[in-house]
Amino acid sequence: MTDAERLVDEHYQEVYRLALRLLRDREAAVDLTQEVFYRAIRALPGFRGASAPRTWLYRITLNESRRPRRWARSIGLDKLAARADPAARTDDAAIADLDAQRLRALIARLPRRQREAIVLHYLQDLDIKEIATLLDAPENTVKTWLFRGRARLREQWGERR
Amino acid sequence: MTPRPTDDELDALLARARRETGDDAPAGLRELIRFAMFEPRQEPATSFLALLTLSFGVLILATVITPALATTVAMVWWVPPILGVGWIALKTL
Repeated sequence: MTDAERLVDEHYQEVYRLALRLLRDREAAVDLTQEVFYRAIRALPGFRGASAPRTWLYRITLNESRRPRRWARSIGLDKLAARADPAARTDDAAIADLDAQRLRALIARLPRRQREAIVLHYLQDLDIKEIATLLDAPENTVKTWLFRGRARLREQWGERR
Repeated sequence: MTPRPTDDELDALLARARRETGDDAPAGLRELIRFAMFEPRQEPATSFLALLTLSFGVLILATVITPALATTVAMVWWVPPILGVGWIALKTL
């Protein structure tokens, strides 16, 4: 097995999950995952192991996800609202499902740095230090983004339902 | 207006969002990645170079080849009619 194949085998699941959490669309996440590995394999000879392979791949994922074409393909808030039909779902599970969907929609509306910090920490389970490395920011700044992101989520949650 | 969630409620919502987005990648994605990894692809720089080459070719055609051909034709246009007349004269004599 080559280094490239090993890199794919070991990391494609977590790269896909990060892509899905950032873009909120499975098809776009599949496209983004392919793009990430396409770029990573070409850059592999120059990769000197300054960071862990996972961190390196996550950085490529974040950079690629910031391109406008990626967001253009992701599901918009209006589509998400249209999908959720409260009249058709009255049981507790359905309401909880709507709550989780709504939260993901609110996360998508956060400013970029706060959104990325929230996704990486609470959804992708990365620690502050790794997020700081990924986002090229001091750890205290990452903590601030997380705090502000949470505060904004709580505030927007209470605005309207 | 709905009440703002407490910190614990927000944590619970985030945990749920994490579980719901923790699906495995679709079957076949790994093979798709491996296939796409080694697929030759035209990068923007390559496209730009191709366009530049084409533009250069058009420029050379317009500024060098076409005037050179026109000059050549202008200089020797009388040769074919004279040869034709000579051939006809030879045939009739």
